[in-house]
Amino acid sequence: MSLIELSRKKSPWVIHVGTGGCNGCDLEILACLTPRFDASRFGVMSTGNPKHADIMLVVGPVTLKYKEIITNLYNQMPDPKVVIAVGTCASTGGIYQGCYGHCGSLDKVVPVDVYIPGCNVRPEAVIDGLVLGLDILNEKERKILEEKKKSKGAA
Amino acid sequence: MDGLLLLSLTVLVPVLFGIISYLVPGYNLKKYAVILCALVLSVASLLILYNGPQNLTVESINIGMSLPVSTIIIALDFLLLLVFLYFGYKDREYKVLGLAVLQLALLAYLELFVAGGEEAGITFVIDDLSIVMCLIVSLIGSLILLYSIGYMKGDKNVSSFFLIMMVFLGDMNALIFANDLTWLFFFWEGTTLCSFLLIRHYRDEPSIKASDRALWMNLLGGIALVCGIILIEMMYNTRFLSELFTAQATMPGALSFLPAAAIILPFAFMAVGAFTKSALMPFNSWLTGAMVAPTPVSALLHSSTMVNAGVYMLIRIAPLILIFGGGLLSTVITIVGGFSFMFCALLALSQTDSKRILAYSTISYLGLIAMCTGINTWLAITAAVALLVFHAVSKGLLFLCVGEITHIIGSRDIEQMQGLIAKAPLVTVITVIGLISLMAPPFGIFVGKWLAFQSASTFTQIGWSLVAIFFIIFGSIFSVFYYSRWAGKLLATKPAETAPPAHHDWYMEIPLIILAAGIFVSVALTTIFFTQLIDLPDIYGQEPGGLVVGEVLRSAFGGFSPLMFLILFIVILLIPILIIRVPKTSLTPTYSCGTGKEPDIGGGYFETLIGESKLLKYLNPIGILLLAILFLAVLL
Amino acid sequence: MITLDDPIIWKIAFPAVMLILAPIIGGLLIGIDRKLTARLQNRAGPPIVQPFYDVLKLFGKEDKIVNKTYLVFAVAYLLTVVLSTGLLLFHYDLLVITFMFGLSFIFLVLAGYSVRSQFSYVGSNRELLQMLTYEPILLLVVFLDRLVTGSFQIDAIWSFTEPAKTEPLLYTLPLALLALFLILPIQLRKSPYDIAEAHQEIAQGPVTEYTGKFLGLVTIAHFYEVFFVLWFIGLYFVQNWAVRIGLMALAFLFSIVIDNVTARLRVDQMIRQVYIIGLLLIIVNLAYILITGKWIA
Repeated sequence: MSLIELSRKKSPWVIHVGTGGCNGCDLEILACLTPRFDASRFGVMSTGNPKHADIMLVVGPVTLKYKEIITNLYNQMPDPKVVIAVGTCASTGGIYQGCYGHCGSLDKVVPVDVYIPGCNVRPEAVIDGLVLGLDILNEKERKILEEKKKSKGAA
Repeated sequence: MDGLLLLSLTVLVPVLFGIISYLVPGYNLKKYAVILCALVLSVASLLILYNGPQNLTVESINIGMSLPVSTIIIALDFLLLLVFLYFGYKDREYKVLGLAVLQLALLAYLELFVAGGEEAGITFVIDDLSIVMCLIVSLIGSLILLYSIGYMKGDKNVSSFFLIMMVFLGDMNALIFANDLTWLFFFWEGTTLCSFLLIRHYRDEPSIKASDRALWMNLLGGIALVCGIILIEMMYNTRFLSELFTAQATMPGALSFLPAAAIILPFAFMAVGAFTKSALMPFNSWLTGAMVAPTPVSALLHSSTMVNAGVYMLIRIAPLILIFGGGLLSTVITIVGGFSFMFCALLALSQTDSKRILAYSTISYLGLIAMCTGINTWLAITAAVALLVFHAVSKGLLFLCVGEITHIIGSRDIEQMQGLIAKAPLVTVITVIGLISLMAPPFGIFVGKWLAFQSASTFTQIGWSLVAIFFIIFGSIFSVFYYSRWAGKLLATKPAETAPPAHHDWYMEIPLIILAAGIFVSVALTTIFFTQLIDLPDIYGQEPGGLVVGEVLRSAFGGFSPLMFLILFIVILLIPILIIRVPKTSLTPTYSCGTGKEPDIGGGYFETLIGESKLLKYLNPIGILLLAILFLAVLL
Repeated sequence: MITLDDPIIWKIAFPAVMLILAPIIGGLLIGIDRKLTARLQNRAGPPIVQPFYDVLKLFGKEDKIVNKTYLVFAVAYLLTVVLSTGLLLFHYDLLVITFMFGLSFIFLVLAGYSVRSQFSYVGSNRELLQMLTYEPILLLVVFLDRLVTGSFQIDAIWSFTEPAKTEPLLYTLPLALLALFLILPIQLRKSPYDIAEAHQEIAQGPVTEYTGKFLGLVTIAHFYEVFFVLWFIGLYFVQNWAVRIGLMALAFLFSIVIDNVTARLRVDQMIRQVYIIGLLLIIVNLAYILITGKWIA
């Protein structure tokens, strides 16, 4: 493992986006950062800015209004990036499934890498999901590099 | 080379070309006259530099018969005042009328009743200070002339415009070289007339109003100056600046009720005259009002002519104040200058109109120069001369840039200039260079501020030194604020903006390029400038050449090398400019919370806190109070 | 044979080594800061080398760029900070060093202004206001240094060859040192004066729009800044290495504690507090050195 890959695993910066749910999972994510759960021992930092973030935590079902916003945010995140759907609503649509004004689950809008079920999710689950996401970051980067090599070879 | 020839080249030839350009028909012919004038003027000023210091006596002109110049000038002087009276009457501006009448009376008193003007003497002195001033006036003035060929195309009153511009330059050169105070007074009032006519160039309501204000304020300064001259002739029994250094001061019988310290009273009057010309604090409104004039006029007023005359006068009288023991007067000049420096910078912070920002920043830097002349040590006077030069180059450049930007976007508001670099890369980059040169090390203004800081910390009275340093620090920080905001605005582009083919008017852009190069050259040549071109009167005991050790400026307290830092600065910016490549694929819009909309950004001018309407009502009375203290300091 | 007393070691080799070590020291200090803050809050906290993980990670990320100008200014910011640190280590003129350090702030502000983003615009405005707040105090402190030592040169504070000859600045300028402590949170971008990079309000202020390696460069510049600021404070007791390092450590601990026990203030509160307290401290200190006659004209 190269130094950069190691540090990528050690320093996941997070942007957390609420797309219009009940905010229950929001509060649980914030609880992760508090002394009791202390996600920052994994190097997690909440940036509030997609341009600095590696991992996007999405909470809540995606409302139609939020669809464009969430794609914009996703596009502004630099590669490699991981999207984590936090809570039942983001993973499947939850109790909003089939409701008007909704796209349903998050994976219909942007590609999702990790699903964390639960209503609300427990902070332990969020941390577990984050750690799962860390390995995916490096995998994704390797894939991107391979594709670049391929397209170069093709050219 | 004959000094007289050079003198007439710098003084009479611009006037001559002005008349020619006024008479010839068609814009093309006028254009050639202007270009020729600019060329002759620049070459003449360089020849004066090459020729070095000398003294000249001009007593009479021979055109068939011998005419004494003194008499001609006195006659012209009265004619000038009659012109002012005419304009005052025409505009129903009673302040102008009253002040002109008063000045007429004083002048008549000076010519008729005050003795001491009979003996002949040196009428023109070419010394190092006037050479430096002449270079500023002639070189920058010429570039502004060239620029105005492009700028004034299609203007209705273009003939009289060029005439007055060129007369202005000639008059300013004469003012710089004049040694006879009565002559100097004539040229002084000549600049008032020229600036007055140029400000009212558009002949509409606001410009007439602004020009009248400029006129009455400058007439006030003229009165102060003529009072000073009367007192000098009475107290020192001479009318030549150069003879004042060795003059014996005697209190005349008519003024015997004054205390003995009042021997420096004339210099207090002259300082007030200088304050009006340089638009320092209580008189600042004429210069900000003068922004209605065409931009080349503003450039000329702010960088090379008008306002420089004031600080030039202060630099001239500073050693005299030192000789005749006016320590207190110097302190008050320091405070007036520092006050203007700090608070005009603060006022500029609340402005959005680019020309007003520049106007306030001009006043603020002139305040800094005045402050240096007040500190009145060899280091401070060196700082004053250096600041005068560096400021003229940068400010001339910035005004010309604003003129060109106004042509491109049709607005002078800096909020409208956002992302201008995509539309007009050349002029924007030059503007940014100009802005950075006024705030950042290692450019000229920084060299000046560094010297000023050093000289302020050598002040003998530690209390005043602290006040001076306080003014310098806060003034500099405020100017950094408004300049960097403006520079940043110019550079803010959208991700995928491409430049449309720009329209080039080379008459306007070549002066810009030359001046921008001048900024770098002037910094690179700082050490040579200090050793060769600044010559201080003996009273200061030290020459600025003592500052220079190799490429390093080294005072008693520390040193740095302008050239080295200039190179470092360029390297620091050039490395990223050359290395960084922006691939098209990585362009993204800015973060706007994912909405994808471009937000309206701007503001942060704090108008409610430090706007003109808030501050000026306190600052003007304080300024007037400071003037009163100026006289009290002399009389008590 | 070069011995440890050789001036060449102290004049060239030592500053050069320190200049190379500066970002590492600065980064470690930030790591210690994060660990200590975590411990103060009864958390485990990230490892001490976390800042280096962050920077290295940033160098492995994709660039998302808005325009070229702000990238140029970011690099210029880094280079200027390195330059001013170098000047400080190589004992240049203190006044010039202060202005060069100010120039780095100007570059950062220009970087923030030259993208059309509301966050970096507001951030730059605030950055300027912060500069407006701390720069006068810093310059006045430099002026006091000059009054006491008789020169703006760092060498006057402490000559390499005869360190015992001069009195430590701490004895003559204790309140000026306190004024430096007062502006420490501004320079280190910490609470209560972390107004420009208030990430809960305005994303990251002027650095909002940077991604990938350019953000990494800005972070490295920040490492240098930490080192610069603490080294500057170290000048107050150059006679004894133990006291000198203790002073720097004290300043650092002070900033951490203040960071943890205060909330962010508004701009106007910051300006008022720093100006009133700072100017008061400086004036009292000035009065002290004037009365005791410990100044050189």
